[in-house]
Amino acid sequence: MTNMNTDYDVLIIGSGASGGTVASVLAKKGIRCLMLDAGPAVDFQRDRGFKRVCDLPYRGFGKPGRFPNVTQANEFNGNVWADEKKNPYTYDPSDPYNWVRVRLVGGKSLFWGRASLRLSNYEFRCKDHDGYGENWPIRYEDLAPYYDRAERIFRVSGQKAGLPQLPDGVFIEDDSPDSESVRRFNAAARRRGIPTTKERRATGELASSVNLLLPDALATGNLQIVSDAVVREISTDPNTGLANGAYFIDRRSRHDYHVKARVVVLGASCLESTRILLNSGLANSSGVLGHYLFDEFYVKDVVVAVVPEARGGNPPRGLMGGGGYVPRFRNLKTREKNFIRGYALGFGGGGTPDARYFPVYGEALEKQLADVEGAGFTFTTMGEVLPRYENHVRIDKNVSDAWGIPALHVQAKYTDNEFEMAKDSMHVCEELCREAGFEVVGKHWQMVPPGESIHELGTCRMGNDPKTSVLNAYNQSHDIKNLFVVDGSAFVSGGSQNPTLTISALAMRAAEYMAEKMRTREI
Amino acid sequence: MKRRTAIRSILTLPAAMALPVRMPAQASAPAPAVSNETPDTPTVGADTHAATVVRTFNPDQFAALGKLSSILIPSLPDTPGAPDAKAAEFLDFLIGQSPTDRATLYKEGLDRLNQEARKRTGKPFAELTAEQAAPILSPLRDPWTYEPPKDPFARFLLAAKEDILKAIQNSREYIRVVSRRRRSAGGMGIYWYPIND
Repeated sequence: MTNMNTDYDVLIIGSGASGGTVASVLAKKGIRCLMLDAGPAVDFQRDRGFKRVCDLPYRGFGKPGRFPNVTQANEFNGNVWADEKKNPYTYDPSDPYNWVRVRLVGGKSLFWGRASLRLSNYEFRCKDHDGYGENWPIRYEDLAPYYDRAERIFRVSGQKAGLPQLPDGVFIEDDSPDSESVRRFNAAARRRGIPTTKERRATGELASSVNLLLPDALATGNLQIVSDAVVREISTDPNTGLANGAYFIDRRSRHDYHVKARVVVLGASCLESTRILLNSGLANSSGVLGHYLFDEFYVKDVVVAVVPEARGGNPPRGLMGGGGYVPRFRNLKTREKNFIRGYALGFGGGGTPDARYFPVYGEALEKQLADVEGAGFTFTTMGEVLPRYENHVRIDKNVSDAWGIPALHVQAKYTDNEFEMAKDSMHVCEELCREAGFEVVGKHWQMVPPGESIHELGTCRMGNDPKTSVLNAYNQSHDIKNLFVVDGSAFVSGGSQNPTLTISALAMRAAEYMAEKMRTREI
Repeated sequence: MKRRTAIRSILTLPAAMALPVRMPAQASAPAPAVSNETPDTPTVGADTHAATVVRTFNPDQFAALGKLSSILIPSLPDTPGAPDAKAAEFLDFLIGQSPTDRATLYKEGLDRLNQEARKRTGKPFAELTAEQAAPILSPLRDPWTYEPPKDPFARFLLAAKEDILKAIQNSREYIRVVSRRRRSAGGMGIYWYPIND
């Protein structure tokens, strides 16, 4: 084992949206940080290039069986996902879980969908609203100033909508005109009292930690990044019980290292951070570490429709294209359905519906596909999943990764609240399509397996009570004052909004608190 | 040494060291010009210049797959179909690389095509006309449902329809012809190489 001979102020494990945000805040305050990431750094010039699908060995199908749990993987991007053989995890076959991971400097922020949405007090005060679960230890108002800053960093485009369930932000104003089909859908929704708005998305050619967060931090001279550093466990001072660094293994050589730091920050992604804590045997006096795992459930292509005027293979100019977002509209003022909480919908027009929707073959199929080319209008449901104690991760002592580090066992499944929500979303989309004059060619309400939305949250949740939570309101361990967890594992509930913007805002708030406590020598 | 590493290391050497030195054969003959540029050697795809060695399916199964492919996605005057894209040959390769359950679905599905064809006409599926095959392919005329059908034969037909279409649309021949009409049919994408593996 090699001891790195420099002590750092802060050790940050993970370089994605959360770790990158913490590094950006701390380094600018003159705090010396060392960042570890389990993967290599991307060289965008060297590591990618244009290819035709017909030049790929598997014609775009990808090597069969390479990624049994990553449906996002294809033959173009297969090399960016974490190798499932080197990074195994287990689950009960009757409750499959798709754990989708990226092990590169920048993490999933290199490839995220960029949806940048604020949570509201419907989430932060969820228990007050409907009696289920726990409130967060913070209110929306506590996080709003950090959302403002995160939106500026990620250059979020959007349109103010004045909706309490989806607070407006500091947007690059999106005043682009909607296509005719989107206007028709919006009007149909409005008649039903269902709000719609423009998508809220980070902009720019790349919207990642590696171009928006890390460069400024590196420029201060206060951040060093070690790539290919697979963290095994957090180390502690036997006298004080405080964290004092981490053990890690070089990904390629298997060389063991230890690094020391005054403060340790975990931002390794929701389940990886919890795995490190579980393998370290730390921060679990509450017994809830690993529990209350949730995500957002997705129903992909919940409804697929065709805009009749776009049939014929050459839609009139301005009819198709674009999309939008339906924020949660259920159970806001009254309990109105056989489920609590709600769901959001993403929608867009202009694609071609898949051949599977048309029960024909031969020349008839080819004519059908030509007829609906560019005429599709599709929806995806993103629904809130209730945090439940029984949905959890634990260490599987029988399975280890390629570096000998014990793997996770994931136990998660959806229940009736999510199922009812999914069914409702299908009915709503279908009704709105018919009202907009669209032809529905496919509908279903079956969700993808838990995890597939890549919005895994919880397992290390915040709270005011150390007996029922792992972290306090500043992402600080109740048990170990110089240990922080800043990724999605800290979430208490998730709503139906994509979580990255909230993760970044929380990390920023935690970093400022951390810096102040370091200044006053409280940690 | 990996190819990319090798190229990089060559590029860092002085040209005189990196390239083989050519000695004149005879003092009186002029030395051929030596290019100092790194060559870009053109290559062609194997699928357009060689035949697939069928290894996964037996001859009866492969013949049935060829017929099924050409019925599901036939060649049209202006659009390549399964025979042009060598869809059956490609699927023999792909299914041979696939997990066992996928391979079994295909093999048993192709056997069933032949059994049904012989039962109805006394001929193997490969010798049927599209009209004769239509009753056997009736599961493909059932409305779409998210959950795949319980009958493995119906599941096979739906899987084959999807795979054959994709194998065609992503083929060199299809892209060559259709991209002339539609730029979006070029099949171009950003490919990620193995990253510092």
